Amino acid sequence: MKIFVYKVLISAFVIFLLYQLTIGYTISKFQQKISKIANKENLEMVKDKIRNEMKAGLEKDKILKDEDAILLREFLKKINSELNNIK
Amino acid sequence: MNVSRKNLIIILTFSIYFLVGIFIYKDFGIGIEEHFQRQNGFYWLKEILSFTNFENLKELTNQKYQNILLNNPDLPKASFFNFYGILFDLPVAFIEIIFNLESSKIYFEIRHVLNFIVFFISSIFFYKILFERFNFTLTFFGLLIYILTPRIFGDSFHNNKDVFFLSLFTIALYYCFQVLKKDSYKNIIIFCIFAAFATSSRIIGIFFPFSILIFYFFEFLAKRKEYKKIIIKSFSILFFFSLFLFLHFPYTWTLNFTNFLNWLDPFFFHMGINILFNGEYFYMKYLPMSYLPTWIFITTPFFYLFLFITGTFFLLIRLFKRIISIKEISVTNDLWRGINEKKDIYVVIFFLVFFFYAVFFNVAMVSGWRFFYFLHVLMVYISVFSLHIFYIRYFKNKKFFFNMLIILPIIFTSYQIFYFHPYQSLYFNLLINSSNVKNFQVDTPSLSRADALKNILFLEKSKKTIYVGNASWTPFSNGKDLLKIADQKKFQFVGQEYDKADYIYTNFIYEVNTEYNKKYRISNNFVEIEKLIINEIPIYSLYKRIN
Repeated sequence: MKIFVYKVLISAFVIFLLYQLTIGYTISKFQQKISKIANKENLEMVKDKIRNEMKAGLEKDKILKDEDAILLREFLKKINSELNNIK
Repeated sequence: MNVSRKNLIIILTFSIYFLVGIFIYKDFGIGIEEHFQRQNGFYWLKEILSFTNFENLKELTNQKYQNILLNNPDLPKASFFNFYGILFDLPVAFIEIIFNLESSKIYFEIRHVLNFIVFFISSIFFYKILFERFNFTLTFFGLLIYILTPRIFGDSFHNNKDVFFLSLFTIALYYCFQVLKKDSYKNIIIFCIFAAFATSSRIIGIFFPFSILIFYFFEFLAKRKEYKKIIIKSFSILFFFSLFLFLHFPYTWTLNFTNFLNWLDPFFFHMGINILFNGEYFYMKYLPMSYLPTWIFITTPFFYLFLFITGTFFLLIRLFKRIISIKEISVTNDLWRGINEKKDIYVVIFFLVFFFYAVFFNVAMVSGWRFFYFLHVLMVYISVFSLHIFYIRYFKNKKFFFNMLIILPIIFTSYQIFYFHPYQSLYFNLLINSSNVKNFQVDTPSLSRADALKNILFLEKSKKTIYVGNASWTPFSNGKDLLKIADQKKFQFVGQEYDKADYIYTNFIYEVNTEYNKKYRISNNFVEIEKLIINEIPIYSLYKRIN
């Protein structure tokens, strides 16, 4: 009986440790990531990045490749015609 | 070594330590929680006096309490966080009233000296713990490690919460060991008093009575004690502990049956702030598992770390050997042989319990590992155990060499304590240097604020009004409480309205990532005029307006 109790105690401890070091660790990492994405500084960072990309784009002679420009033009045309045709 | 010589060494050590403390207690800045704790003291004094007829005292206390609220509008309200402070803050508030202390400098200094005295008393208890377990030389070294750990040394003056709890934890541990040795009712009652005191200072002290019950369970398994006796003693411990806790802990008076089940919840409240750790900002509730181990690793002197790690290793090996040799019927206890081993097992088991609890259960921590400073006593015990093993195995016939090997690193650590003075609380070991210190927050207790104000005063002797801004998350304006009243009046604090400031102070503690949040950005019309750096660790900077 005594040996059984010790075995149960030790097994429970080992399972707990394994759980924490595998699943628990993954959950903890996930929680950290979620909390980072949701925080205000991160949103500021994303806004800053978009601003920087836009600024960098303005300094270039050409922002789009020719084929992308054509694709975008046709897409905007299509959207525009759909907007105009709506009753 | 004869007894009188040993006594002389110990008396001399304690006397020198006490005198050093008394000599230097005025040098320390105000800890970040001290204003709140002072408010807390008056809150409780007001509550207690409301049951009495001392009208004059009531009036004075209420006046002081209202003044604190008026002068510190940003402080959390003691009426909301009303669970701690009955043992330290309340008596200090009483002293302030009785002696009519009007100078803020003096009442903060009194807090510092009293906190030091409590820690000093705990060091005597720790000496007794070690002396009952190890030989004199090891006990002496253990005592030196206990009092000469830089962060604990510094915090023993201004950290009236965590080091105060460490002190009570140490005293309760001493009486806990007395119960483990002999569970007489006298020992149980004294133990329960100190366990209750520890619990009302930090809720984690509640583990003490249950730790004894766990050891009763092990003894029951080994059939070393009758179950009837175990049941009676267990109930006695729970009864006396609850009684003493109830008698002196006002929080328990407010509980009713509906909130009894979640009565622990308020103790796990946390501020929703971000903390810089290892170069990244983390939400306080979701710190990485490595937070506590890393902080212990970078703020403990190498020599102590080495002893602690080897000590844990030796103890776990022995525990493992005991476990694999457990037999269904035996004449001894399963996990230990004798009282000394029982104490060793107790220390290592509960150190690991607390450690895993902090690592795995998303415990909200801030300011490094100060919430877990109570582990210091367990860590030093384990370190002394390591010394004990090294001594027995390798140095039994080389006592002088062994003593030199131990005393030299302790002397080096003492020198570092001297070198960091009065910022021992911000100590880092050699793993942290100018290149990686920016990855961690340093002056989290905001100790440098009073020094910064003193420096500004020195630079602006003739100016009648000085406008100062604060480019840090930690409070700055109440650092003036360590100045003379005339000097306090010279300062106007403008927070983050830097356009109004003559000077800007920063201790580099931010609750936001300053790379993206411009809240604390100091503009180009300010120039850095002073930066305090100790051992490559930047403590604070002062900026002055140039146009």
